[in-house]
Amino acid sequence: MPKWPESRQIMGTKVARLDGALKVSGKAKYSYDRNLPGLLHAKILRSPHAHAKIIQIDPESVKGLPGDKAVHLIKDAGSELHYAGDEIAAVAAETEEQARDAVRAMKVKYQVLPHIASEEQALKQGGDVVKAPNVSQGGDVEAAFKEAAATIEGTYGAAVITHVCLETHGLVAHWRAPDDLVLYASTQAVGATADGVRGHFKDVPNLKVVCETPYMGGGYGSKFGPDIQGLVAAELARKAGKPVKLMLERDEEHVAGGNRPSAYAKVKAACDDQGVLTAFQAETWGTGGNSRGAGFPLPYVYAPKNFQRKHTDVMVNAGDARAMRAPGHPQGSLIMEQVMDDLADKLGMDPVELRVRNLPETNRTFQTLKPIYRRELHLGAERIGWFERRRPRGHRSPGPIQRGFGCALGTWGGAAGGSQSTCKIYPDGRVEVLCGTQDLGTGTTTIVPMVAAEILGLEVNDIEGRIGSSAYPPSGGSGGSTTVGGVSLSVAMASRKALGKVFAKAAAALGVQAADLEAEGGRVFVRATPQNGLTWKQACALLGQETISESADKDEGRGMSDQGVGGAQFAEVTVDLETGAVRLQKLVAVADCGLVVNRLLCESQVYGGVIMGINYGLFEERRLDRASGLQINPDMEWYKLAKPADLGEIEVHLLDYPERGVIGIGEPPTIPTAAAIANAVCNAIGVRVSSIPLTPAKVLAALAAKTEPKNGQGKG
Amino acid sequence: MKAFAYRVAKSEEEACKLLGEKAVAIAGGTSLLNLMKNHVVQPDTVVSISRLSGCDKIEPAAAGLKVGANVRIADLAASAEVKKGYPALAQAAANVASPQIQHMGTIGGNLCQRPSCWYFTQEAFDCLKRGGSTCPAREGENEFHAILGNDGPCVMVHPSSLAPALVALGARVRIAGPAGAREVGIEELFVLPKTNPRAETVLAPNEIVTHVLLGASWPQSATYEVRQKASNDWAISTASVALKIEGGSCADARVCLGAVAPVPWRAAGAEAALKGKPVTEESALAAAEAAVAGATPLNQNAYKVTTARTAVRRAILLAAAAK
Repeated sequence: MPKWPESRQIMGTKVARLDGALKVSGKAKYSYDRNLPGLLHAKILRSPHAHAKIIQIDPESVKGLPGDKAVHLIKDAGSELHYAGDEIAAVAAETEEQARDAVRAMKVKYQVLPHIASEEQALKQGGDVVKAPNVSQGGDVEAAFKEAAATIEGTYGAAVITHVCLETHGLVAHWRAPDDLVLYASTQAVGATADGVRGHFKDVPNLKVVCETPYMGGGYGSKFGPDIQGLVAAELARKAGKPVKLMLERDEEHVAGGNRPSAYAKVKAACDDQGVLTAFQAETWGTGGNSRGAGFPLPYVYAPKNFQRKHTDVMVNAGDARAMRAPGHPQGSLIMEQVMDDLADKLGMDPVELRVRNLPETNRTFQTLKPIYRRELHLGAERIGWFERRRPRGHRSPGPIQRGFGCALGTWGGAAGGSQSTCKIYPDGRVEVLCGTQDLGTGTTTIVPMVAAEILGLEVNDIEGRIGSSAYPPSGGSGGSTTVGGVSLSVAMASRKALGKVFAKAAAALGVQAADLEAEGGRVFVRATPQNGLTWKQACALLGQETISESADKDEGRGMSDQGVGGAQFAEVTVDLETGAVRLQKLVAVADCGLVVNRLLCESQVYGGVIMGINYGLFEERRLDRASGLQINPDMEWYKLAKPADLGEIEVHLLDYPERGVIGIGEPPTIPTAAAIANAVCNAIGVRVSSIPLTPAKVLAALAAKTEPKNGQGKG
Repeated sequence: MKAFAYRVAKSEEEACKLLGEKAVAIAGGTSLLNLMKNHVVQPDTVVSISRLSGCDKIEPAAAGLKVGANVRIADLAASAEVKKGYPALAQAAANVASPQIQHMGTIGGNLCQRPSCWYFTQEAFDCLKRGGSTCPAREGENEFHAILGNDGPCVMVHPSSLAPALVALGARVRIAGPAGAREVGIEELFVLPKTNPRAETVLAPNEIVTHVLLGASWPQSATYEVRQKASNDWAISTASVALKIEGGSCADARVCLGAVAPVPWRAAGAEAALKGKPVTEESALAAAEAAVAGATPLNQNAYKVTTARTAVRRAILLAAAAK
């Protein structure tokens, strides 16, 4: 069969989202939109204190309030609350407003305990909140520093940010029978969510739990299971005997829905006179909340022979981190790529050239990315006008507006994740493909029929793709950019097997061998004599009463996927020296993802990743009030996010490596963006800004620290 | 949100009768609803003043323009009369938040809105304005707080984008109350926390602003706003400047800063620095220096002295360049 992987008709083209019209017209039903008869609304009572102990809690205190239907205690008296937002209890009521009022009315007595609201405070205090450092090293750093041609020292950092899923975490839980529960959850893992809830109700024999997620509004790594609200909604629904909707509100989403840990680093690094990185020494720290770590890869992309790193996780009384789009990598890129730029500046070498000289021969994914990075750096530099327009760091143009350019690299795995699919072909020619994956907004709903149509020689619209349910063949959670690979392979292989069955029937009818047949353009025909064939419907009619149902695992599609990608991004910014305001003018993203499955969706992923990276670099910060430990900006007003006017021009280039097979693209494009912007800002103003986000306060502080006091910075 | 009754006032007399300690006015609702959802403002009654007769137009008046309190910010920004005679106001209006808010929000509501301070707008914090004991921002997270007029009990910045322009333009406001209407200069509308820590204006609970009255035009006026984002964002510092330039030198100047103090902050020192001199880079800088000379930044907002100075200098030069 000269089909994928040998050749492709549909894969690699631009196919608009099949559910695009449903989404923009509001017809697509998200978890929020599930309004079942008798639906109750639930809200969670959360700790108002950053650190406290429950002395007394009276769930009876909400009984008899208007609309009250059920109460569920999450924590008992004596429980410790580790952050402002920690879950205590939940109430279901007839209306959302009544549920809100009920949790406000619940009587709880707290013993307030001392809290920690910043990394500095934790490090100063020491003890339990500072974990034992993690040390890694190789070579001889000290010896390398002695022989260095250029040495730099710097501090770099990134604030905690939250996922800000447009659709908050949550679900509707509906017991259709005492042993039959359906969850309409906003999740990245329909299977794990159903399993998690089933495991919670061990007391129900033969419990059947199905999770239905036909549409969901963003997860970015924060939605891999039922979470507390999933278990609570199911508990309340069982108690009340009615379906319960529990969606987090925006402030809850910020404080309890997960976050990307902070990352700070003190780095000393050196290179030889050829610009080759010879020594890298880093002390790093960060917080992943009250119990999670804040690790990230460093050294990153580049592989200095001599390195030494000491990383310390510190705990603060804030919500825990969760995986967030390329966990750890944006932080690693941010720190490493600023160091590379600082070395280039110290040595007086072009930063692109210095990077080319340090490209790794191999990376952890067994394949050298060196030629890919080189091609990306070359293309990105050309597209941003690097060699013509970039001036050395510290160059000043007349007037307050300074222009700067920066670049950075990132890498990711993106191997095919576990996936199974079933392809059904009916005697009337109908084709159904079932896969228990989910579409996070990435476009999996469109990918499934594309791949099946490619294999079966049909049009995309001829295929009925069924995903977003744990009742379908199991496919893994959508994390690690593994979905497109796994799903493409299992769908392709199931479709091949099913097509083989059609061929068997058609071969008999046409008097040839199945191996002589081809399916293309809605026909099944003899390869050597294409006029000798059947329409797809005629071929399927040969099935009689039989329906073909063939399943496959992604492992059957060996050689059709790969892992290990490199990406390069270039940023052009302007900075107003008199206001500290940074404006992104242009960002060029060159992305590598092997075989592009759907060019339109693939580009969308890169745009989305870049936009998240812009927000990371310029705007986002989870700010805790130090005095109370409460988040001071759990909103979209003071938790700043870009709108189109803040994005500048974004240019996306996809490198085609179809021979590598499918590789995920969800995460890689968000990795180098903030680093490229930080380097561009430094290039513009001639000085490093302490940490991202690059706010006016920090930009002006960096400029003030550089200027001699008698000159009075910022005047003019 | 606490349950409330909703009433629609058809006339200012009716509005004043309905309003009171527990009955608040709603116009565009872009600010009030958030505060109600957050339990920060919990009225028994919400009185719509959107349908008051005679309050939704920009009309010529003897001295200049009479702007109804219900005129939408978007209409203010688009008004040919405002753009021509009072560019500082048109520019300020165009800077307000987002197009959505400009189309719902009114000039009256913009002047009377409650603070956007993150301690004030969240019930969880013990805010002095809401009856708390101290201002948590003074020693707390104050990157966006006051650098001027912050010697009182609260260090909020006044959130209005339009107020500084109206101060620079010497506007007056008409206030309706149970005893009838009165007129005050726009500067007299606002109060510092040390005068009244609970409110931002002199309005009694049963009074409303019905009109903004603009006098003779100031074609040489301008507003410059410094903010972090290009899109919808609160100003870090803003300045509105109105100039009269005769024979090459500044005959009159009015300078007002926004987002730097608990009230729109008139900069008399900057005005004095400009008067009698040609408007140049140097005199604009000297005036800008004078505008921030008394600044007393808090522990996280020293940078706002720079942004305020920049806003004043740039607004002066923009006003001088206007024809």
